[in-house]
Amino acid sequence: MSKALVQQQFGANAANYTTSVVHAKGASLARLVELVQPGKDWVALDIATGAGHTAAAFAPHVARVIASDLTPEMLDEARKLAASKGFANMETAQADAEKLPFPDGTFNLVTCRIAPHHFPDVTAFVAESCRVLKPGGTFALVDNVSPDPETAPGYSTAELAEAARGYNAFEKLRDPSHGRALQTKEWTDLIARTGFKVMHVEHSPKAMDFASWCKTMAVAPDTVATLKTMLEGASPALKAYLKPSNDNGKLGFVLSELIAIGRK
Amino acid sequence: MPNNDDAVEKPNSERADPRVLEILVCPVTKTTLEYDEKAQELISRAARLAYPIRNGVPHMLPSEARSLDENKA
Repeated sequence: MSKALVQQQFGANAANYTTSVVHAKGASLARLVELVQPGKDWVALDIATGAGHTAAAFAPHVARVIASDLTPEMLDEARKLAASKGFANMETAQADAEKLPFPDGTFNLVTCRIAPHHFPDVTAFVAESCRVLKPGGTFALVDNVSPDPETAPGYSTAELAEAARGYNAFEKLRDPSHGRALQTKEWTDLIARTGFKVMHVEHSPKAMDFASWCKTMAVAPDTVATLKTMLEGASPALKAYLKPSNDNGKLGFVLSELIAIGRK
Repeated sequence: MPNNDDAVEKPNSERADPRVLEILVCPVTKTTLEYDEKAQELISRAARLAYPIRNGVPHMLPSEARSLDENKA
């Protein structure tokens, strides 16, 4: 059901992601290229490419990049983006992150940005990423993380666990295809356990405009009201993470993106 | 259910990029695929599935694939 939901949510809202400032120009995108230091002869795979922003950021720096996604409508957007930028080395394929249609040891780089919180089985996704990478290949992950000691310091494990549940419920109400955002340590443990050496971990705060955030997923007005109540009534630990703001009625909050780089 | 469209030759603009086809394997069995250029399908003999290529994009999900066994009926 989750995968059908992802296709439904993103199929209906595909074009919103092409124009989404957070997805197109997120600070983490430039930072990711800087951290990865791609090679000119590299073959790269961008998993759950969405509108193709991450694949397009790497296209000028590598030999070729394959942009894959579960949702055909998103791949249409990615293809349009590649065509508009004149990237002949950016190709598209519909694929499931947990069952990749590529042979072992194919890629120098696997990227996945702001997507795994939709995946039903992140363990399979990381294992598949590792499988399709060449030895020495780079795994570059960006995803929203839940409140944890890194993103909401000073709270107990129990308070953070409760805040993580609250954060995921907040996301899931806005987008039913949201699965779960992991905490930082869950990611680094999983990446290490899969067989990568964790090379780098950092967090990037991402200021969100509440109204735009609701609009991207075409949230119904009564749900917007509930989300507003959740944001304003968040627990202290969740508030420490979300940092809700109200600038003359313009609501905002902050998400924390994890950038993790692994080497096979 | 057999799809009669499969027998019709597709225009070039809807053909997949041959470079991406070279790199693909069956997502279920991880074995090589046969490219049926006319039908615009990638065939996995091992999984008995034919993955469609639509508007030049290979659709590499088992749920999107045509069963080769059903086609015989």
